[in-house]
Amino acid sequence: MVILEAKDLKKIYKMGETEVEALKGVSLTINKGEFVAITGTSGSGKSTLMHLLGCLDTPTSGDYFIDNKNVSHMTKDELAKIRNEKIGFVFQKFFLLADLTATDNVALPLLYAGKAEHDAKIKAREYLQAVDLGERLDHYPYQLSGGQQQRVAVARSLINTPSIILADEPTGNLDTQTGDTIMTLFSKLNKEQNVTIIIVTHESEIANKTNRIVQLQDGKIIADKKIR
Amino acid sequence: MNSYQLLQTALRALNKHKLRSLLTTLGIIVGVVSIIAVMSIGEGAKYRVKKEIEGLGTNFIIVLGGTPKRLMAQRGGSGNLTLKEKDYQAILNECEYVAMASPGLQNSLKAVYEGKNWQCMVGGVNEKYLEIRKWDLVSGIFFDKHAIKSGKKVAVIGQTIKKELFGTVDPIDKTIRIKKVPFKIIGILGERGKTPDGRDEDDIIMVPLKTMQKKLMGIKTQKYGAIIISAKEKDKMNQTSSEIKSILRQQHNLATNEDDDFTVFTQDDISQASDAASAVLNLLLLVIASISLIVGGIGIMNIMLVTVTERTKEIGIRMAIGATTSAILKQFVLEAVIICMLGGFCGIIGGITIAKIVGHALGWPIFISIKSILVSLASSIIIGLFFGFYPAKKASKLNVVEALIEQ
Repeated sequence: MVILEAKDLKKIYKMGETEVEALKGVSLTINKGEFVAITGTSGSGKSTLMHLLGCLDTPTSGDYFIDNKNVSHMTKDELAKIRNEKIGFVFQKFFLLADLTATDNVALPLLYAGKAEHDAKIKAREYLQAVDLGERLDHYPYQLSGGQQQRVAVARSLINTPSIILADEPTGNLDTQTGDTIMTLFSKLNKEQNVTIIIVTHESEIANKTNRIVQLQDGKIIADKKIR
Repeated sequence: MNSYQLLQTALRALNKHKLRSLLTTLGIIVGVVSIIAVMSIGEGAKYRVKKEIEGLGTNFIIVLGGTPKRLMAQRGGSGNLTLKEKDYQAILNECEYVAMASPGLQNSLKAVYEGKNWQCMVGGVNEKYLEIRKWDLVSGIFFDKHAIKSGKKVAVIGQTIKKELFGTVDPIDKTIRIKKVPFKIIGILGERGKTPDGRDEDDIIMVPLKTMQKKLMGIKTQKYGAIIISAKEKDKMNQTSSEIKSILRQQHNLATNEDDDFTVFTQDDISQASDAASAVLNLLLLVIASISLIVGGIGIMNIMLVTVTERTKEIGIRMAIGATTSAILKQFVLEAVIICMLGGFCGIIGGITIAKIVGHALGWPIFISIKSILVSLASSIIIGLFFGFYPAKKASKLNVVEALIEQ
């Protein structure tokens, strides 16, 4: 089942007088339950692609479908709703809110979805237990290690049962060993719960842990191969 | 997010920057303190003036000799001696709404008791005067009709005279001299306080009208500076006043194109004049309060703009996980409103405290009106909404990608 389909996506940034074409027509289809890595060097356009796939930005041209819904021309608020319902983000720098406990951070997407606070917190605790943070429910981000913070972020990305998890350099701020545990967590989620995961990375070791590698260069896909 | 969750978010953010939040609210605090203090003290002053005006007497009307213009030039005073005995008689007999009246003669004279001197008002009135003024004696008696007719040398004194000339001695049956004429004190008046125009009512010696006229002022004919009147009905004060005017115009043979050569004040006229004066003062103070509220609001806007810039990343994260523009807008507007409301609460407490201190110092009653509290709260909320809106709008319009990559 196709969950995500990009057709000839282009993105042009205007920097004063000059125009920079960051994406020069990218087409990509990802099915339910896939575990994909998008790789490329710095400047290859992978961050731009990730922003478009994550509905954080809209393409200059081309179409983009999530669950067969064209989201390429949606308004800011419609995109916010799509992000809330269909996409779970995991960022390189975790991006947890410093003033909120682990539980409150994980519960936040549910609150923006209009769920009751009490129920949201119960669910958030369950999700934290699932990533082995049952002992750290009421800790604030600064009281947690990097690996723990990233696991909180993973729990937050999963809480609204999104169609895809979009992870942007999820191990970039972690040491190798901790990075491995996060990658193991992703593969486990993919295998056991059939969660669709896209990892944006420039590290080939990380990319090699997924099932499919999409390689970008100069704003175009130059390779797209299944490795498992 | 529901409003309770937004409220929690806002409180958490404010709690994180306690000192900044407090400094931000200072302008609002000053504004609200002035609103509460002004309104409370103003109410107290109004109440006091109302009491003083009520204290003038029952359905009180005063006729003064001289045109309003002339009296104004003399700064009030006790009237020119242009009212005659027949004017008084006409008012008493022909006006259907007049219940009681007393002619009045007044002069500032020196009273002497056992070597002590005291410059004070000496008033010549008739036996009805105290009744018209609703003024009671604390001891002794007032002079009667007979005493007035025979021009007895008796006097009734106010509390200030008692204090200044007699101290702890009982003044009853003692003799004071005014212009070398000996007067026997037969009664002491109760304390009255100040008149609406600020004179000490207790600084007075009352003597029979005829005695005043002949012995103290040396006037041969019966001329008066004022006629003090009590109307029969409170609702008919205006009719009474116009009735008196037309009788006096007739008495004075004034042609239709001539102005009144006398001035009539009713209790209502006096209270209206004082209301108008206090309204102007209140307005002025409220303008000052509003200016400080607006300055406070600009301060809030300033700090909220800084806050939005500082928290760009937080806004980006919230948007990434699903916050809509309106959720962000609400969050920051609410923060501004809460800062203003906290300022409002502090201001209300401060205002009440200052009003009480001022009231205590001036000896005025202080009324903390619910109205002033509601006005303060409402204005701080409005200030928060108004000045918080622009920064919040700015926050909600942030581009999520740019907000997330912001360092």
